[in-house]
Amino acid sequence: MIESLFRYSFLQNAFMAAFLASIVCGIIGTIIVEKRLVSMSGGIAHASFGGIGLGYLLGIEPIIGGLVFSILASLGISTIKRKTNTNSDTLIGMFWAVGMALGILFISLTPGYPPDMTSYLFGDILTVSSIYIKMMAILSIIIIFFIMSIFNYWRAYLFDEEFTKVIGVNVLVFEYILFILIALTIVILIKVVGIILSIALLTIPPAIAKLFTYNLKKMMIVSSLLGVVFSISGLFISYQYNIPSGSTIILLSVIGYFVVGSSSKLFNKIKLYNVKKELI
Amino acid sequence: MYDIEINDVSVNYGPICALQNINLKVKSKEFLGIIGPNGGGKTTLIKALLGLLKPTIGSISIKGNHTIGYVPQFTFFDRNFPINVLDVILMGRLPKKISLFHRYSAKDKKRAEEIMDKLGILEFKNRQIGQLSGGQLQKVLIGRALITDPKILILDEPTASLDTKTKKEIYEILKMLNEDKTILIVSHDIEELFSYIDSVTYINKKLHYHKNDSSLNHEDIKKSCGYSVKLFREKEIQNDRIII
Repeated sequence: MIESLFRYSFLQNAFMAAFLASIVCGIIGTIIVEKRLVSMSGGIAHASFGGIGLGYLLGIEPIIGGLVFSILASLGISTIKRKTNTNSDTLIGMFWAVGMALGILFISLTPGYPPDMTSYLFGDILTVSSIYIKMMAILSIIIIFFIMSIFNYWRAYLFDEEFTKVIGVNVLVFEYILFILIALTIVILIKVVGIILSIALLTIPPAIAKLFTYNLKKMMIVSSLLGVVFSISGLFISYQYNIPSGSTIILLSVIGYFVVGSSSKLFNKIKLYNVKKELI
Repeated sequence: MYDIEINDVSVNYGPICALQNINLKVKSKEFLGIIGPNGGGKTTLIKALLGLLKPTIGSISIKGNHTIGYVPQFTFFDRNFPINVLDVILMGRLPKKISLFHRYSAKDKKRAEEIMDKLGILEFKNRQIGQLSGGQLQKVLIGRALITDPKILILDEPTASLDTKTKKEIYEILKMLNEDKTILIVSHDIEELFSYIDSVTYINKKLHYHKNDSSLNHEDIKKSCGYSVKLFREKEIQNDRIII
C-alpha cells in the first residue's frame, strides 16, 4: 500500500484530498455543530447538486456549478429568512429538495449518454484530479485564513450573537462569511465523501472532540486530527478491499464515535466508582 | 438630568402591536424595575433601548451616547458551549471595528481579573461555563457587561430560577453598582426587588405605572393598584387590562 502511494499519482491526490478535507471539516464542522447549523449545511450540500447538473448541461466544470449553487443557496436561505417570517427549517427543506430536483432535471436535459452521478453523491476520492487538489488547497487556505484571523470574533459570535451586536460589531458580516465558508467546505467535500455523506464528516469529528476538550480552538484542532485519521485510514481500507471510499470513511468515523463515546462513559463510571469507594 | 428618554415609542411586529406610545424618562443613577406579564413587551422595550430593533414610531435618546451594559437571561445560554469564564468576560472588550488577528491585551486581562475579583468569581477564571452554578454564570454575565465600562446597565430577569440566597447576592451587587450607574432591571421577583429599586414601571403594551420616588414601597403600589404586590402577577395574567 505505502509502496503504491509513491508509485501512483492518483493515490497521492487522494491522500492530499483526504488530508485537506479533514482539516477544513474540523474547523467548519466545529462551528456548524456549535451554531446549530447542521441541517442548514445539509441543505446547502444538496442544493449544490443543482449546480453540478447545470455544469453538465452547459458543458462547464460541474464542481464550479456546484460552488455557485451552494453559495446562492446559503445566502438565499439567510436572506429570505430575514425578510420574511418563514421558519429556516422550512426554507432549508425547500432548497434541499429544489437543488436535487434541478440537478436531475438538468442532467436529463443534457444531450448524449447521461453521466454517472454517484461519484458526486457518494464521493470517489480515487478519481480526484490534480487541478481539483489545487482548487481544494486554495479554498482551504481561504477558510483557514477567515477563521483564524478573526478568531476572537467568531467565538463571540458563536457564543452570544446578540451581545456581540449590542457592543457594536456588525454580526451580519459574520453570518454571510460563515455561510460562504460552509458552501466552500461542502464543495471541498463533494469529491471526498459526496453530497449525501458530507454532513457526517462535518459533525462526527467535533462530536468526538467535545468529549475531550471544552476549548473552541482545541476542539477545532482535535476534530481536524480525528478527521485525518478517519479519512486516511478509510482511504487505505477502501483501496485495499476495493470498496467505496466515502462510505468507508463515514462508517469508520461512526465506529470511532461509538468506541470513544462509550469508553469515555465507562471511564467516568470507573472514576465515580473509585470516588465512592474512597468515601465509604 | 435624564440618562434615557423614551418619547412616544411604538413598536409593531407586522400587524401586532408590541408597545404603544411609551413615554419614559430614566434619571441618572436611578434603579428602575420593569415589571409586567409575559408577552407584555418588556423584552421588546429592552431590545429597542439596546438598538437591536428600531421603534416603528417615536424616538429613544441615550444621554451622551453612553454605552449600555447588557446582561441577558442566563437561562438562554447553551451551557455546553466550549468557552471559559475569562473568555466570556473578555468578549466585552472586542473592538467594534473588526481588526485582523486581534488579541486581548494584558490590560484587558487585568481589568477582567479586577472585575472577577470584585464579583467574587476570580477562582472560576478558567472554568468552562457549564461547570458553574446559575448564580455564578449570572455574575459572569454581569462581569462581561461591566468590562464595557457602561454608565447604564440593563438586566433581563437576572434572578430567574435562582434560590433566595443567590438572588439576594445579585441584588446586593446591583445596589453596589448603582452608586455610579443607572440600572434597569426586568424582573418577576417583585417583592424581593422592592427594597432595592427607586422606581418601578409596569409594562403591558402600554406603560401603566411609573414613579420616581425614593419613598416607594409596598403601600404605595397597593394604593395605586388597588391590591397587594403579591397578587400583582396573578391579577395581571387574569386581566391584562388593569387601569392604574
